[in-house]
Amino acid sequence: MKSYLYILYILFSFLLSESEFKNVTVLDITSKSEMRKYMKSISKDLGVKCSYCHDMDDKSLDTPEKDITREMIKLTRYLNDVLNDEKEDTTNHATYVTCWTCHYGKTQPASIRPEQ
Amino acid sequence: MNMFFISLSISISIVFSLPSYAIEENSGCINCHVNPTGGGMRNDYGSNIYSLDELSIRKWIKSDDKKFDGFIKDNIQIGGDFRIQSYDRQQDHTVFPMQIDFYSNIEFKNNFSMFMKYGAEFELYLLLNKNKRWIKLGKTMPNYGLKLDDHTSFIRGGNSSSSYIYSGSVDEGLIFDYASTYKDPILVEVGSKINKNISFTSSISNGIVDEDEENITLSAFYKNKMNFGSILLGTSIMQENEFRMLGIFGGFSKGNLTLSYEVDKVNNWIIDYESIALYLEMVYKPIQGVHMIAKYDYFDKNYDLLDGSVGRYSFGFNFFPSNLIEIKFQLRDYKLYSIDFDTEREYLVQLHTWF
Repeated sequence: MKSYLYILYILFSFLLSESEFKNVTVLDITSKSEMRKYMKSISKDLGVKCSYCHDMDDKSLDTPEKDITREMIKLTRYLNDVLNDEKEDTTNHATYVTCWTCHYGKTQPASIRPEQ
Repeated sequence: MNMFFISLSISISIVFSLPSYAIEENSGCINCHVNPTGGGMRNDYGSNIYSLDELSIRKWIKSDDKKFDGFIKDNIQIGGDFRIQSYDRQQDHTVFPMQIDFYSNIEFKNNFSMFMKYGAEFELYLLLNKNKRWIKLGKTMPNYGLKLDDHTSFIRGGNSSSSYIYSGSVDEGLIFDYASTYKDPILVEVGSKINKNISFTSSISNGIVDEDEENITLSAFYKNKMNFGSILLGTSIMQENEFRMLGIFGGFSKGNLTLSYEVDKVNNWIIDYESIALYLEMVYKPIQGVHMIAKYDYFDKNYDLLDGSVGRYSFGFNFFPSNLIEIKFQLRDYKLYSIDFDTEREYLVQLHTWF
């Protein structure tokens, strides 16, 4: 009996469930898997854990680091738009600039050229 | 003896979680688990970030792009925990299924979700979780103390041999043994994160020891990350007629080392006795994916810290070859104080897999 109830519960869940991101203001990502992939890329590019930007008990809350990240996302988006506009074939909207382009796995991009 | 362990294991339904991880990460259980008070099913972060990137051997981590993570849709998740344990004592050797639990969690509109566990113990609750406050309604255990992954710890259930259940054995555990004797009650729980560091939960339910009684459980903790490391300090109380548990718990983490503890004073768990249960654990991670563990459990049924008490030393390590597999090795040795009972060194090997 429990097994049937469980299957019924799963079937109904498809009809009733709904997910929503909270407090996403800049990104236009709608699926969790895409969001996770994007967040992981930021964390690797900056060499930080999620807790560097997020309140881990409620990841949707605003933090000062999140505000900076939002501006940085806008910056990379703008640069990619400009670079894509310079190409003749605009159907292939490539990503030329990511966090890694400047950060190289560090929170602060190097502002001084390394000595050879 | 083998039949005893097999029948026991089938009747066990355990809520597993790892408080030492929460101490190390300076976060609450809600960080990795669907249940805000921890245990069982892991959420998106627990499954796809912590479990995948920060738990297993770093060199063996593979890309997760095509991995099934239990999410059927973005808001519908299924999962499971499965454990097989090999147990060796001088005269006994047995291998038994320790845990077979399936989970599902559905997120609805407006921060509502519904969780179900299908296993030896059926668990079902509705959760409204908004702005760091939640209300939980359903059939589930109250939040008390550290919710350890090892139900044989004396602050949980011991080896299910408390004399309250099995007379004639050594008294060594509290009510969280999850043997079929103690069912999850129908509960209403309110939880809140008061500020960045302090959280509390309170619940009212029908009784656990006696379902005709009323059970009230309160728990609160303080966590903070400071220059010298992360700390957790907490306290819990559970009252059910004459039965009362009062405990303190917490821990400290610095670098690769994490310490955790819990002490509980219990009235009338063993009728007319005031008992004490203690848990100390030290976890050292030489590399990601290998956890070296030393533990001490202590239980004294009459609170004199001498006669009739039992101590247990455990040493071992947990090995995470992938994000879905844990292998535990453990050696356990007992020390009895004025108890005429035969104990021998125990060797445990446990295979744990989940999704």
